[in-house]
This record gives sequence, structure tokens and C-alpha cells, in this order.
Amino acid sequence: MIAYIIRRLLLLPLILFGVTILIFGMLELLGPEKLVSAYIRGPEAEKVAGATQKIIEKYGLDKPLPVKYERWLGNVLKGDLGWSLVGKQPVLSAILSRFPYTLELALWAIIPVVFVGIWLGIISAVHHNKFLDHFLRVFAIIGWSFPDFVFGLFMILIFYTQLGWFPPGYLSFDMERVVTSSQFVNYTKMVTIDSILNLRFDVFLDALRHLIAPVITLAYLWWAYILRITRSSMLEVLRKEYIRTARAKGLSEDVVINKHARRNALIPVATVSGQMIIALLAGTVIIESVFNRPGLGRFVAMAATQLDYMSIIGGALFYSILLVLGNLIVDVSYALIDPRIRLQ
Amino acid sequence: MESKQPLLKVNNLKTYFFTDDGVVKAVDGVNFEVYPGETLGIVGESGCGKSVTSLSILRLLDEKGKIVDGEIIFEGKDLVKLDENKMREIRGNDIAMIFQEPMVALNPVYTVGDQIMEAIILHQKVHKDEARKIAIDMLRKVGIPEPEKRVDEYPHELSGGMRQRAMIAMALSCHPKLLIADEPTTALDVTIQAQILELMKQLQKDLDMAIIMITHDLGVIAEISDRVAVMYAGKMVEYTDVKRLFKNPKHPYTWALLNAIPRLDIEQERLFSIPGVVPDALHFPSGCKFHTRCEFATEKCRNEEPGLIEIEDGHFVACWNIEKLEAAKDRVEVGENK
Amino acid sequence: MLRDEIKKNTKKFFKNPTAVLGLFLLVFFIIIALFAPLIAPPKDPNNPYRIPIATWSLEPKPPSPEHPFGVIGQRDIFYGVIWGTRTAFRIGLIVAGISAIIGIIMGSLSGYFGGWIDEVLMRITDIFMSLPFLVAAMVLTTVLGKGLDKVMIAMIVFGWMGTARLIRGNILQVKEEQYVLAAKALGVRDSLIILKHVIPNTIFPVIVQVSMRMGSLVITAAALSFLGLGAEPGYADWGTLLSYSRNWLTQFDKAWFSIVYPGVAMVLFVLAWNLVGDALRDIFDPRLRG
Repeated sequence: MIAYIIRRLLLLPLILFGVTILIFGMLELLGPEKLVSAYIRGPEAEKVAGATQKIIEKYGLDKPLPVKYERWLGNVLKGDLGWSLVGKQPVLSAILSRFPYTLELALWAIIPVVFVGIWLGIISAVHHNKFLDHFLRVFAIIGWSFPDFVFGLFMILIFYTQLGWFPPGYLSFDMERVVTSSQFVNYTKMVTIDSILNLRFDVFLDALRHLIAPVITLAYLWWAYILRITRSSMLEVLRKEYIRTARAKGLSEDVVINKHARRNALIPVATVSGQMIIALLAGTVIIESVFNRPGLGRFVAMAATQLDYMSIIGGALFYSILLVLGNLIVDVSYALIDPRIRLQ
Repeated sequence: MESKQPLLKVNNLKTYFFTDDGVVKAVDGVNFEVYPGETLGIVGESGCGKSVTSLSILRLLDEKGKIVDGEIIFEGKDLVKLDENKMREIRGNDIAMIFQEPMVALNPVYTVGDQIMEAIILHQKVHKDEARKIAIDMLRKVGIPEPEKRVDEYPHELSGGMRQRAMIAMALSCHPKLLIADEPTTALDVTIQAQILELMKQLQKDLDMAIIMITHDLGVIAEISDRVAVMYAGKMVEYTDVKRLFKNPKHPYTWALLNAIPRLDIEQERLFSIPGVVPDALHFPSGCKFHTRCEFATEKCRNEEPGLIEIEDGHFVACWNIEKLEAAKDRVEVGENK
Repeated sequence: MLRDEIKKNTKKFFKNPTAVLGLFLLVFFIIIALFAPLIAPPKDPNNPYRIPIATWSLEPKPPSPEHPFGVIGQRDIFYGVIWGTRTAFRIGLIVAGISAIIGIIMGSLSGYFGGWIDEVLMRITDIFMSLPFLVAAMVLTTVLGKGLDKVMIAMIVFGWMGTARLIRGNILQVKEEQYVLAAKALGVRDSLIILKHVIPNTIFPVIVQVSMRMGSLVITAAALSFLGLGAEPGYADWGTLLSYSRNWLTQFDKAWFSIVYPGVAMVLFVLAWNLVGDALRDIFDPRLRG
């Protein structure tokens, strides 16, 4: 187990190094002209005439690739990811200031995904081949086939246009004024948490109202996926002999399923949960654009449409670091759930 | 022994499986009784219904299996009619069970101690610390060294023999009156098999419990049983005490089984070399189920099913041609004497 | 022998109602794609993927006999949905096909040679998997300069890793099998063994994987078009049609048809592939059934 974690930790810098090469490679694909213009769009360009030459020298744009990479990596390690055209600020601060919004959305989505998905999967397996199981299976496969942004558009069409319940956006106009006012303290920059800390429950409810539709949109796909995985893994576990042993002990069906079967059945679910959290974060690129919410996702999408190269490269780097670290955490916690791995 | 009240009495038990391909009559009218403190062996080839019989007693059949007829009287109560809650009070408490493969029969994600304590806490209503003491005690009783340490280990950390001992400790932790052992030694090495059987005999004496030993291995039967039921294709074909069974088998199937044992080497694992194969459970033959493989089969065997009849005190056989078998036995003996 | 197997599996496939539904939907879409010129005759036969301008008004127009699915962004939605079927097939088949081939090559090299080659190739695979697929495809598309062809290139570049791992795993497994060790002991060449035993073991899982990916690839491409990175405006593509609706976010009652028709087409298309892929997986890999 410890050897396994050490191996994973040793691989981590290697993978991150590879990722920087990959991303630098994509930046280089721009070609020299676009590259210069991507760098030059910063505030430096407005200050002096002849800034182009300075930029070229500063970033070594006329130097061979290894030198360019070294300079680029040096800047990245210092936190200098360039100037964001869309954010009108350095890329790193643009990313960091928007990330809490996205994290908040993703965290809210995880709750229904994990609880409802696992719960439905277990129900489906326990009712194997009965009506409820068939119904949930069909639900899962339709859910899995529904493109998230189409689903989001349907949500808006039904719950906003038709019913007027859940408007798109982040906060209603009045509440946005409250949040930006000086009395409102932004502790975490996640409005659902901050509003409670500020004891502004009206803000909280308003934020929730704007969250429900995007959260469901982000979650349903993973509901379906987690349901399917839990179901098949649960079915497999329920056929195991140790389940029969547990029943032979006289344990109630409740204990058999929720203690003996569930823990074993959740092992494969845990392996996809890391993938899921990353996908939820990445999914916000589309969902935030559909629902017109501020956040990293919409920032990256806007940067892409406006050819703000420094921002999308920075965004890609940020997402990949999240993914690599997320996978590491999942692998380690996976080892903690399954004693067979823990002791190897 | 026969004068005592039986602890368990199974009357005309029928357990069918309703599969997509048709109805499988896995157990089709089985009768036997188990007396306190004795060991009943149920022997037969795989698929004969012996395991299904044992699972029926505890009502642990999967969703496709149903007890369609018969009664299972345990201490005066019919287990077939008992509601699920009452049944759970009996499982693990009055009747416990151990299974063939101790690796897959123990939950890999909980410690051995955890799994033993579960039953103790449930049935004896004791506190966790107390249950732990009982569990350690039990592990010591089944001969596991360093039980204080082993109690916190996971199943995969134990060897096969140790796991089966842990399984036995778990089953016996609530002092059941009846232990059902479904091929408990089949997956183990020969030397360990003998140790486990010895252990079971010892514990049976100490705890005064009855055992139903389910096995395909007549060697195990000879070692541990008082009385034996021989099953074939969902039916009991012979039922008597162990001495008479080995000395004077009355059913051609039993006789064939005994002849298939290499005489000098009882420990060998696979024994049978009866001509033909076990019939497909979906399409059992008409008449006597064994007629397709029986050298004495007549027209009557093909058409009419023989009932289990008591041919002498406590010796039941289901066969139309008992005399023919006797004649054959004589021939073999004459042949051997030459 | 093989024929019996195919016969048995075909029977199994048709016994599964959801598989039949999937196949039916797929055939339906194939027919639409094949007969697109008859169902929605192009105004400019040299450029059939341009949706002709239907009106000069920027307001969406609800369905009418002339424009059965309505008009959005001056374009006839019906025409876009019909020709968009061809676009969807083209994206899915090209991207899934080429990335599967790359994956097969990478995985075979890795599994066959093993050792440091395997180590290097697998780390490269890890690195490519360290970017979320959608983000990676988006960034590369942008860097390459937008457009449907760039979207496809980007999805291929970041889409081969799953197949590579699958193939590598299968080769490693086959290498361990008894009959392969036996063949090796008899002096049969490695490459011959791999060819003979790996291909039958691998071809079906790859087919299953490709059919399961078809749907998600079409979704990703449409999402990029929806954001404005894929097909240019006016191109017959479901994602592009849907992107018009973004301008009417707060007035969807005026533009519902621009979501419903292309949206339903996409859902059914993806559903078809997922149902077929699911059924194929059940048949070829009984372990995953449940």
C-alpha cells in the first residue's frame, strides 16, 4: 500500500511535466505570428511603441523550442500565465477568481449524484428484473443518451419559459446588489455558503433557485451512470457466497444489503467517482454557458470563442492539474476502502 | 437413539426452481429426520439436490427457488410456514451453516472478528466488548493460534484451513443445536480436511449439537456420520445408518458409488465412475431417475417410480430390483474369491 | 462454427427489445442520411451542407407547412436536421474510426514489446488522459483555428487512449494464456501468436467501444458547435442549429422549436448508438452484463 502510494507520488511530477509539454505544444501550434500577438495583447502593448520586440525578447519567442519551453515553464511556475483578454486581468487571477463559482456548482451537483445515483442503483439491483428495475434501466439509458446542453435547454424551456420557476443566471438583480454591497462579506466566494454566514437567507434561497436547474442538468447524466455501475456491481455482489453467509447468520435483509453488500459494491463506484468529479468540473464549461452563470467554465468557453489563447491555455493547465490531483486522491482512497489493496 | 424426539424432521420436501428454460425439480419429495447430537450425512453427486435441501431448511434459496410442498419441522415449528422475522431468529442461532469455499464465504472487506461478533451481538444481545471476548474464545476453541491478533485480520490474510476454522467459529459462536455443513472440506488440502473433520467431531461432542454433513465424498461420510441419506436427481434413494450403508447397500446407485471408491485410498477426491452422466435437471427421465445408468434397469423402472420403503428396521430403499442387486453382489464376491 | 456463433448472437440480439429499438432507430437515421437530397432537396447542389436562407427577418418563425420545423436565425430547421444527420454520421464514424486505429497501433506496440516501450507509451497515454476530453478538444480546436474539421482533429488527438489501453490489456492477457505459452514452447513466432490469438479476442471489444463512443463524440462535437467553435453558422449541424437558440434564452416561447427538433434528433441518434452498443457489449462480454 505504502509502496503503491509512493509510486503514484513519484509518477505525479512526471505526469505533470508531460502535461506541460503537451500544453506548450498546443501553444506552439499557433505559429510565431499568432503567438506574438497572443503575448502582446497584454497591458504592456499599450505602454510603449516597439513593445513587440520586447515581448519577443522577454519570452524568447525567437529562440529554439527548448529555450522557449524553459522560459514558458519558468513563467508558469512563477504563476505568470499571461494576460487574459476576456478577463482583463492576469490569467491566473482570472481563473482563481472564477473558480469558486464553478466549484460551488460542481459540489452541489455531487450531492444528488452520489446519493440518488447509488440509492437508485441499489434499489434497482434489489428489485432485479422486476418492474422498478426495468423502469430505472430505461431511465438510465435515456439519461445517458441526453446531451447535457440539450437537457439544459429543455430545462430552461420547461422550468423557466413555461413554468417560471427556475430562471437562468446566477442571482436575481436585487440579490446581486446585496452580494456586491459592502455589508455582505465574501468569505468563500460561494454564495450559498456566504449568504448563510451573512445570515441573508433571502440571498441563499435566491441562489438555490438559480442553482436547481443547472445542478440537475449537471447531475442527471451521472445519476444514470452511477446508477448503472452501482446496479451491476451490486448484482454481482449479491450473488456472492458471503452474502449467503450473512443471511445464514440471521442478519436482516437491511443489514445484509446495507452493510455486507453495499461496501463491496461501492468499490467499483469509488473508482469512477474521481473521473466523475473531474467531468462535473469540466461539464461546467457547457452548463455555465447554457445557464449564463459566471465561473471558470464560461470563462474558458468565452476565451475560446474570442481566441483569447493565453486564457484557454491557462484554463487547460488548471483543469489538468485538478484532474491529476483528483485521480491521485481517488486512487489513495480506493486503496483505503478495499483492505485487499491496502495491505499489498 | 430412534426413541428420542427428532430435532429436525423433513417431510416430503419439494423445492423447485422456476427458470427461464423451465421448472427444475431440484428436490422432489425428500424425507429424513435428525436427532439431537447425531450426524446425518447427505451424499450424492453434484446437482443431486443435496445443497438445495440444506438451503431449503434455512430458507436461503435465491429468488428463483421455491419450496412448493412439504414441511420442515424444527423443534415443533414448521420452518416452511414461519414468517421471515421468526426465521431470522433461528438462522445463525439455532441452526447455523458453513459453506464449501471459506474464501468466498467470508466478506472480504470486514475483519474475521467483525463477522463473528455480528452474529453474537444479534442473537445473544450482548455488548460489543463482550462479543469480542466470545469471538476470541471461539477462535481459540477452533484451534486458531494467537486469536487476539487474528480477530482483527481480514479473511485474505488467513490460510484456507484457518479460514474454514474461522467460518466454523462463526457458525458455532451462538451454540446452535443444528449445524449444516455444505461440503466444508472439499476446497481444502487432504491433511487439512482430516483436521477440520476431527475438529468438527470434537466440537460436536463439546457443544452437543446435531450436524447435517453434505458431501459428495463417502470418505467424509464414513468418518463423521451416524446415519446417511443418499440422494440422486432430487430424490432420496437410500436412507440408513452408516454401518449398514457401507456393509450392505441396497440401492444400485449406492452400490455403484461404493464400488467407485479405490479401496486403499479413501482420501482421493473424485470418486465416481458410474457409466453415463447425471441427467439434465430440466429433463429428468420418467420412472426411476437412475434407470438410465442402472445395469439392472427393467421396463418397470423406466415407467414407474419406486417409492422409499423400509425393507428392514431403519433401512429405507427406493428400488424395484433389490434382489437383482443381491445376486450381483454374490457374483462379484465369487469373482473376487477366485 | 463461427457461423453458428454469429447465428446464436444474432438471435440473442433480436431477443432484446431495447437492442431492436436501437437498431431500428439507427436504420431510420441511416435512411435519412442516405436520402437527404430527396427529403430536403438542396438549393445549391454543390454546397448542400449550407442551410439555405429562408427569410430575411431575424425573428424565429414557428413551424408551418412550408417550414415544418420552423425557422431560426433565418435558416430552415427541417433542412438543417435532415442534412445534420449526415454531419453527425460523418463526425462519429471518422473520429471513432481513426482514433480506434491509432489506439490499436499504440496499444499493440505497448503490449507486444512490453518493457520500456510499454512504460513510455503508457505514460504518454496517461498524459493525454490528464486533460478533460471536452476541455482538451476545445483548446486544440481553438488553437488550430475553429471549424468542424479542426473539431474532428482535436477529438481524434485526444480520443485514442481508451482503445490503446483496451488492446494492451488484451495482449497482456493473451500472452499469459496457457495455449500461448504452449505455442511459444513449440517455437511459434511471437508475432504470429499475437496475430492469431489477439485479433479474435480484441476485435469485438473494439467494435463495442467504437459504437459506445459514437454517441458521446457527436455530443462533444455538437457542444463545441453550440459554443461557436465548430461548424460555422448556417452549416447543417445539430449543434449549430441549437446554438441559435442561445440568443433567445429569455424568450424561449418564441424559439422552442429550435431546441426541440434538433434536440430530439440528437437524443434519438445518441440513444440508438448507446442501445446498440449496450446490446453488443452484453453479447460479447457476458461479464459486464447485469
